[in-house]
Amino acid sequence: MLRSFAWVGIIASVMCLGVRADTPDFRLFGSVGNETHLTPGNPSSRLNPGNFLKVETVSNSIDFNLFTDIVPEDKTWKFHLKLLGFNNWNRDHTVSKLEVGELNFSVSLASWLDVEAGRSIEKWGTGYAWNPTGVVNPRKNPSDPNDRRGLYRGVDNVKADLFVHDWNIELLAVPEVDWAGKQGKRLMGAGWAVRAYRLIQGVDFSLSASGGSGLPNSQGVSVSRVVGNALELHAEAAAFQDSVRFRPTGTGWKPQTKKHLDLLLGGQYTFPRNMNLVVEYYHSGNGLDREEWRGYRDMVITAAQELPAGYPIPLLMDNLYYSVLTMARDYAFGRFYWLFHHDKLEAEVLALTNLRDGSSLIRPGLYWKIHPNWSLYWLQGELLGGASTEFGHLHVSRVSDFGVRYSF
Amino acid sequence: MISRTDRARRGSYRAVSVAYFAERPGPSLFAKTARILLDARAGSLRKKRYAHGSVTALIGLLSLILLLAPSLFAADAAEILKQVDIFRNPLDSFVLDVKVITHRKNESETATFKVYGQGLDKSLVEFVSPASEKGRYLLMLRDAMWIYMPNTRKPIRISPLQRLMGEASNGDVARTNYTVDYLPEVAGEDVVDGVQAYVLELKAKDNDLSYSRVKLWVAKRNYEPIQADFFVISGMHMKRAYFKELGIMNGRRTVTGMEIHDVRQKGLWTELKYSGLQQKTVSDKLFNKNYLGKW
Repeated sequence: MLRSFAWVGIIASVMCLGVRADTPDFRLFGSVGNETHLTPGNPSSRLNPGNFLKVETVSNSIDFNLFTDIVPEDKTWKFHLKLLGFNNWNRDHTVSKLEVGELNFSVSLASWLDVEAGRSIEKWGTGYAWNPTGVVNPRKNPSDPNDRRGLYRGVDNVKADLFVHDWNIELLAVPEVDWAGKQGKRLMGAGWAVRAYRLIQGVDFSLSASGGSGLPNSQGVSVSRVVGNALELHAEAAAFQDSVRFRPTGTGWKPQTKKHLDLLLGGQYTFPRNMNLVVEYYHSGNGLDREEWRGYRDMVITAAQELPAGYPIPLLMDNLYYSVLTMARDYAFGRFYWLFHHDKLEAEVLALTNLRDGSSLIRPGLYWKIHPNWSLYWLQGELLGGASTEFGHLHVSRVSDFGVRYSF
Repeated sequence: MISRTDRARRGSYRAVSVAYFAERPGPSLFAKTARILLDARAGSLRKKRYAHGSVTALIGLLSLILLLAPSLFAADAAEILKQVDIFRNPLDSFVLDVKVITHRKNESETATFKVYGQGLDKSLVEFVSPASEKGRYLLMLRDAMWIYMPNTRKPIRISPLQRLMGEASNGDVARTNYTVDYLPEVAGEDVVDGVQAYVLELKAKDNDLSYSRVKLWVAKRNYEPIQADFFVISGMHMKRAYFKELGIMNGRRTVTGMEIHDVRQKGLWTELKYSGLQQKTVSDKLFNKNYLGKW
């Protein structure tokens, strides 16, 4: 917390001393929200038999995010801050946190060169629910692709943005800092990432690569194109050279370094009367194949049998390994959106499907704009699939979110 | 009805074009027929020559009329459209405030935007209010569009049909000229509220535009835009726009207010009010997709 304020102070001083501007434009905006979650347990979940993980059925979250931008009239520099805070409550415990989501200072050194230092959120790629080329992006939750609570946090980096002949080349150095190490802060290494972008014949075309400490050794390409006046098509592909993973064998975990390819193909179609449909297919070469998934399921069954005998550790390990939407190689995503009733109501249906076992998450939602700055919403996530499927392993059988948000 | 002055103007366009072709060196068919036409107009065509070359001259004359007539009309229409665009956007590089008020029966909702423009086909819209929209940007490079949201910090490619607010599409706010996107043609004349007007038929240069066809009424006396009908590719009439107010901004007479009505749903209309037009040199990189939200 103190460190955050120190950062703000240092950057503000630099701005005052080093840069002259006649009338900087000061922008302050953000939102405050509250969400109540109902999460009844999934009695058939093999990962949580008898609710031994004590999953709460009612919880509440309060959050806020505050954006501050200071930009002079000539736009030669910019100070940007995103503060975010949240309080998560349930019957057993409460967690509160205040975080600096972004804090950076950028300066335009020439018409073709900008330099930025600090923490910033990068969003690479053209996909809606997944971004294989987004190696520096915050981790995305495909069931909340728009980050409705604004909780994304950036990466610490030093960046150069070059604008040469309609190309934009972004070079990032990403230090890996151990902020809370026992021996104090220390630089553990540095990663790098680069992206070159250009609009070519109406096609958004980007090439990217990354490597070094803390970032994957990857090479990627992403494209998007609008066809006609309603259809948008997009695709991303990224090759990863040395991903490290633990492969479930049925009796234990086997470390493995592998090359793999991630691929995303998608499209978006806008219908008359403000209806919009997004469809995507995602292939992750790092996901579990059929045999590995079978091995994992066997380990869960064995671990669950050991639980009554007083050995919870194997099942806890299996729970740690389980991460929804990474347990298969092929997934589909769909989102239908409709703005209606004089732009006051928004209906949305999200669907995520594991293409191997057919298990799905269907999440209809309704947003009501009761005032330009106030909105109420209700999101209902239903899980479909038997006990042996990926979504059938989830600890909860459904998720209901009731929220209110005020923007300022 | 084509007025006498109009006939005279069109006649003078033809005369200029004929003289141009006649003066061109070389034995081109155009030059020959044009010279014959000039001679004929001067009354110096001799019977003997006429007898020998009557067939050639007649074919030449007809070809010339057929070939030149549409191009002369197009040139006329293009000039009118260029004048209309000057009323909509009189500066090469500018910044402009736009207020959009959406009316629905007894309700209305207001949003404000700042539009940065460069050349004929680059514009950037900054969302200023309401608070829930603040920090968003819309970038438009001719027919390519991206929206940027501060929460996700990601520019998303969008199609022209995706709306901005009320009956105003993204293009209605971001696009400030027709010349880049449409090929004009004079379709006729009309009288709108007692004002004599040309009716221009604008055809989209490609299929990626929101409206494949626009019918535009332009005042004959000063080329001020009066109203426009917008049609989608299926031929359906979607919107009617009225250029209601013209005023002085940055020392130039420009459109300061327009209304867009949904012709299919009565009672739904949107007002666009323009103010604060300033000449401003905007850096090229502002119009790069990846630069959205970085300044």
